[in-house]
Amino acid sequence: MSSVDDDGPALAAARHGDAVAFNRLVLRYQDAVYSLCARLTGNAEDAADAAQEAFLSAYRNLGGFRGGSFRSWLFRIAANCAYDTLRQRKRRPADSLDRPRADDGEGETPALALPDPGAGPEAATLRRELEALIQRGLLTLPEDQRLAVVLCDLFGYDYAAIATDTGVELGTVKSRINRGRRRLRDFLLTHRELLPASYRPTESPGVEAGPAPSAPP
Amino acid sequence: MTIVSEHAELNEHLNAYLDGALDPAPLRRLERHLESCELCRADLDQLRLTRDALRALPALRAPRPFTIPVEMAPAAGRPAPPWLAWTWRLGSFAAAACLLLAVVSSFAAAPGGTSTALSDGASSGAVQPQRPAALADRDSAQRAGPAPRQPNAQPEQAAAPSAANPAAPGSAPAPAAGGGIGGGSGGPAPPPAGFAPAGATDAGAGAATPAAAGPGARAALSPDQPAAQLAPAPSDAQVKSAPPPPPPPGATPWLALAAVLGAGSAALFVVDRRSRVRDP
Repeated sequence: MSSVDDDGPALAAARHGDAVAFNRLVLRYQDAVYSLCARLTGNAEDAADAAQEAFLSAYRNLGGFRGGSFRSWLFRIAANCAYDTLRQRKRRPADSLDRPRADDGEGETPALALPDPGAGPEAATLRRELEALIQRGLLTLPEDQRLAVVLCDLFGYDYAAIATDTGVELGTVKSRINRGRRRLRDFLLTHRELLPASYRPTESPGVEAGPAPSAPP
Repeated sequence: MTIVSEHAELNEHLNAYLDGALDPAPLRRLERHLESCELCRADLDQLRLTRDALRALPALRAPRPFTIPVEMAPAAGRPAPPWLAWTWRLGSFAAAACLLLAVVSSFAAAPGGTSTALSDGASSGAVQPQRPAALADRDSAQRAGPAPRQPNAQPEQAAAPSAANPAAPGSAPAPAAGGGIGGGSGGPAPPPAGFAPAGATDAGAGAATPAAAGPGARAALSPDQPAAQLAPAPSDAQVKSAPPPPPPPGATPWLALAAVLGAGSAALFVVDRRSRVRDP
C-alpha cells in the first residue's frame, strides 16, 4: 500500500497531463483495483472492463481530484465502475469468477489467484472451493454492504479508512459491515456442506443464525 | 435496560468487536456480557469464521496492464498552458491592429498613393481575424526582399511551396504553419507541411524566436532601404506580378511591429497547436 507521499510526484506530473506518470500509478494500483472490481462483480471479464474504465475515468477526471488519498479516490471510482458494469451486463451469478477454474482446474483463467507455493493440491482445491463459495456469498449482499465488507476483510482497511473510501459516516460503515458479515454468515450456514471443515460454523446455540433476538435463558 | 434489550444491543457490536473498532465503554460491557451469554459467544465464533473465510480470499492479479494509451496525452507530455492560447490570439489581434494603423498612416502620408496592397492586406486581416499572423508575415515578407538570402534558407525553401503565397519564401516557416493550420485555407498545403518537414523542431524553434522575424523587421525598419532591393529574389510564380511599391514612411514602424507580432503569434500558435494534438 502506497502512501500519499509515494504517489505525490507521479500524481503531480499526471495532473499536468503526463500520461506516462499516470501509468506509473496504474501499474502501482492495478492489482488492487482489479481485485476490488473482481470481488464486487464476481466476474473476471467484468472486473477487467471495470478496472480499465476506472483508470481511464480517473485519468480524465484527475482535475477533480481534490487531494487526500489517491487510492481512496481511485477505489471510489473503481467501485462505481464495477457496479455500473454489473448493472449493464446483468450476468447470472453462475458466470462467476470461480467457474472457469472449477471447470478446467487449470490456472490460465484471468481470475487466477496469486500462487500459493506452500499449499498442496488438496489444500489448493479446498481453497478454491471455499473461494468460490464466498464469492457467491458476497454477490448476495447489497452493494453497499458488499463494498464495506470487501474493503474491510479483503483489503484490511479499518473503519475510518472505509468511511473515507466510501464517503459515509463511521457509524454507517459499522452498520454495513455488521449487516453484511451477518448476511454472509447466514449464506455460509445454508451451504455448510460445501465448506471445508476448518471453516464450518457450528450451529450450536445460535441455530436461528440470525441476529438472535431471542432471549437468553 | 432489560437483559433482553441489552443482549440485542451488544450482539450488534460483535462485528465491531471483532474488528477492534469498539469504543472502550461498549467494549467493556460486551466483554462482560460475553462471559455470561452463550448465544453471543456462538455468534461471535460464527462471525469470526466468516471473517476468516473472507480473509482467506486471495488478492488477485490484474490479468493485463490497465495502462492508458499514451496518445491520450499531449505529445509534449504536458498540455499547453492556457496563457499560450491567449498570447497568440492577443498577438494576432495586435498585429492586425498594427496593420490597420499602417494603412491609416499610409493614407495620412500619401493619400491615394500606394495603398491598394496595404489596404488589401489590412482588410483581409480584419475580415479573417484568425489569419492575421500569416497575413502579417506575408506582408512583411513582401517588403523584406533580402530575407531569402539569409543562411538558413534551405528549410524555408522546403516549406515555401506549401505556403499559400509562394512569393513569400523569406518568412516561410511561420506562415506555412500559421496559414496551413490556423487559417484552414492551406488548401495546397499537405498537413505535414505545416510542421515544416525539414526538421520540425528546428523549424519550429526557429520560428518561435522573435529573431526569425528579424530580417523582415530590420528590412522594414530601415527607411533608407533602396526600393530596388525590395523586389522578391526568387523567380517563382508570383501572385502579384509587380513588386509592391515601397510603403510610405509613416507606415513602416507599424508594419515592422505587425511583422514582429505576427511572426511571434504564428510561432506561439504552432507551439500551442502541437501541444494539443490529443484531439485526433
